Amino acid sequence: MAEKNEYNPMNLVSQEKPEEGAYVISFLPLKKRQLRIDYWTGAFLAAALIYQIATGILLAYYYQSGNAYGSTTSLITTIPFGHVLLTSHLYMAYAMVAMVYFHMFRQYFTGAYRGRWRWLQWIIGVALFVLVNAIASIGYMLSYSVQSVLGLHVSEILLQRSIIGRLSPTLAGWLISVLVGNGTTAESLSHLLVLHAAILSVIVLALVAIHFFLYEKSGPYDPVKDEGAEDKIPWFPVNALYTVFIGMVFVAAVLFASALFPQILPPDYGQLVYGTTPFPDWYEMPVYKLMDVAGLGLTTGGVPLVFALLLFLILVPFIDRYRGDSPLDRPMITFMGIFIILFWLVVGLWGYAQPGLSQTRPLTLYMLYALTFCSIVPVYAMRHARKDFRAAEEKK
Amino acid sequence: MKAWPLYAVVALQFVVAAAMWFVAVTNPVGLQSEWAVLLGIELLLSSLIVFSAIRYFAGGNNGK
Repeated sequence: MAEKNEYNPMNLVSQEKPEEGAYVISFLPLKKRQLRIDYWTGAFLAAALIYQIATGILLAYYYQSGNAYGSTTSLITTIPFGHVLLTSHLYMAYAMVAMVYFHMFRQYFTGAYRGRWRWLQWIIGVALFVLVNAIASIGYMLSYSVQSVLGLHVSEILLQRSIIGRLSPTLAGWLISVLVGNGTTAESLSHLLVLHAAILSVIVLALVAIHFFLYEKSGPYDPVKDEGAEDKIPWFPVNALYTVFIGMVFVAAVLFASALFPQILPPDYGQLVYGTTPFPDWYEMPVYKLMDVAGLGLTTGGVPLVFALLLFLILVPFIDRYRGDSPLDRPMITFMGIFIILFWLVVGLWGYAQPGLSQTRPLTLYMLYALTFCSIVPVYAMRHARKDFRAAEEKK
Repeated sequence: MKAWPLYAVVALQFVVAAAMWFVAVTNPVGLQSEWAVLLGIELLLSSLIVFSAIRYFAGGNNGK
């Protein structure tokens, strides 16, 4: 006999009992306290990813790698909703890169990389951080404007002369050929398009799926371990709706930004443009400036330093052996986090102030010393202050 | 919870949707900043509805 149909949408919410032998992927319920926005930085990224895929597919209908600049200008001027589509794709990429930083450092300072599967989730996250930056940079090269082609050339030099090129010129050569093919304009752009829209983005999607699966295995990282003490709220619909809510507000904000500041395409590559310094997008600025920094006896300046910092981020779940949960209970880890943020900001701003200008070694070393001082002192000062406050509390 | 604010939001969404349609028909190419702003407003209004649903479910009404 057929089951009776019940047209009650609330039945969707009720939990089904899994069949015996079924493999269950559970979407974990939340505590009410976890509806706080800083637990949800990943939801912003999920929304950004979906938005980028949707707008990217629409843009792919009109973009021609054989006529890169022409098709981009015609997209802006003749295609219905083309300008807002392109601008919001760009701004959402910016927002995504910014959110990747927020998301990563939020997990870093709370120590969310510690735990049964969380270390793997963290390492995949660092890989995603690199890939998001790479996809954004390659997307920026696709328009074949002056800046984008100069960006491509700088990337080639970066690969050639960085630690990769030093250790293995063959590997660097191979990576460059992956990036630009045989070096002709047509082949370069078709390579870049495939990398941007197919290869790297599919890798990102696969990694995001694993990242998300591991998240649902472990749940949100919460140092307050009072299991069962609070009322849990169900994953469906609350968690799902909260993600949708964040996504809507986020996309709306990006749309407002793209309406207020529509993208202005730089001039075509090959046109005579006077007084143009190769100038990357903001998120590439630190790496770009580090190529100038003449410290540590390296012609490509601090590029190996970037690799060292990335290696540190990858290995941090195995380095952090502190018992405490609070950032102040893990002082050296917190110090490194603050150092990386300050270093990135200072080098980026330095790049804006003096692009393409080599620095002396003492100046670079002084910068590194000053940043170390600025990031280590507050952490230990706060630890001492906390100790004093606790002693004062106890006396009361 | 009173239902009328939600109906008001949906009614407002219809008005904004009509405005979006008007802008889209009269200015199919070009900057479309107005259209993008209107779409943003629509999304914010939808997020209000979603938010009230979250409050409903997270407030102890676990779908029962």
